[in-house]
Amino acid sequence: MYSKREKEQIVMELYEAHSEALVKYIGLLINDFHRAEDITQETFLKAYRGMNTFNHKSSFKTWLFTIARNLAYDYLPKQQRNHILLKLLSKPPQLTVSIEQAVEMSEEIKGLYHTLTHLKITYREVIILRKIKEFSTKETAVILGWSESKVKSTLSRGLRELEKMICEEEHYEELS
Amino acid sequence: MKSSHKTDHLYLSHELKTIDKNIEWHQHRKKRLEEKLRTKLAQQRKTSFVQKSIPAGIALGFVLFTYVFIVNLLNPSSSLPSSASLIEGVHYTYEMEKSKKLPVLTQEGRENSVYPLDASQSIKSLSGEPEIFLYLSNIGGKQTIYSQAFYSTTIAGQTISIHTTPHSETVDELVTSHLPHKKFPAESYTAEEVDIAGHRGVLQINNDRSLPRLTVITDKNVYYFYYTADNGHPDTLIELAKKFKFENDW
Repeated sequence: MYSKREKEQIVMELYEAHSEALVKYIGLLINDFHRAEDITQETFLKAYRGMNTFNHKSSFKTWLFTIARNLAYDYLPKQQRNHILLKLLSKPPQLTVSIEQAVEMSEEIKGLYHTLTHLKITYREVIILRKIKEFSTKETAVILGWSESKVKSTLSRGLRELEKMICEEEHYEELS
Repeated sequence: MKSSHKTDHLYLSHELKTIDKNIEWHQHRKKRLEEKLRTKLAQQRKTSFVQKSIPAGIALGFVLFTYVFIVNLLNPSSSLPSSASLIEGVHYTYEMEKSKKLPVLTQEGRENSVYPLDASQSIKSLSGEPEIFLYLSNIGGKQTIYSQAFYSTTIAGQTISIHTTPHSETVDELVTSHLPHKKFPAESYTAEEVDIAGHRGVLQINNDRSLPRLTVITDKNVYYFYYTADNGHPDTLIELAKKFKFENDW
């Protein structure tokens, strides 16, 4: 059992080590980096509250990503509806901008990022975890609450779908 | 993305790997979120203490209320002094900005603030007077003062930001919470206690020395000093903090 002080110290250590990875992960998942900061904060608060029930079967990092993913899902349904509306209107999704940009994104990856945000959520999240955050299949399965075989098959389908979308976009660009 | 690689998963995997490296989360936002998290954690600690102490608190509250009521009844002129040390119309006025009423420091307020206005005269890496912002909160009829100041440096885009958060803990507790834990010391930064004009502070330096941060704790407030961009020097933070007029601590 950790004391409150110990829990605080551990949470701040975890923040130093993983906050950036979490903000980027959530931002990519929900396509909103400002909201991603709020969810990241909530992730660490939840970790603080649940520290004494953490079973250490996975790493702290995997545990944090699991919490973050569940919190992001609370936000996703509404965001997904907006996303579908955007798609219907044939407008490319925009990186969420408010008074100040939460992140800077280099030009070279913006195209791929936008295509990724158009992808079905199950494909998107498995691609983010396996290919962008480079978690192992086992760790990804823990974070998503899936079996390892589901991770592998969904990843394979997701990558195929992503390639297809990239081809379609390139074809569209060539026509226009 | 090149067409010749369209069907190559390896190429796509490589492209995806570059996404993370090509997204940059601003360090000052990381620091800001860290401070928010620290404040929330402190609130949680207090909330759980309050929850456990409710029965005792009710009893104590009743005794205090009775005491204050009787004292005021016997001596109406001995009302408790106001905790607010800023006077509207003297130290600050309200201005309308985008249909919001915002408190703005007057010249007298600026001169009597904790923030030194002439720091750039003796610290060569600073430039001009600071920008000072005031935030007043009146929750439960109790005025709480938050402030934030920005000192421009001679390096373009480099600013030192200082913000305050009132606290109700002991200085000892807060200093301990900012120092490395004995059982779980930080690996990514070092922290040491420093003396800032008679006040206790903690200087935190990342291993790559990119973003030093200084925290100064007075009886009323915690002051957070940090750079908004990389490559700031920790000595400047200490030098600036030592010029603060902590006797004007709001």
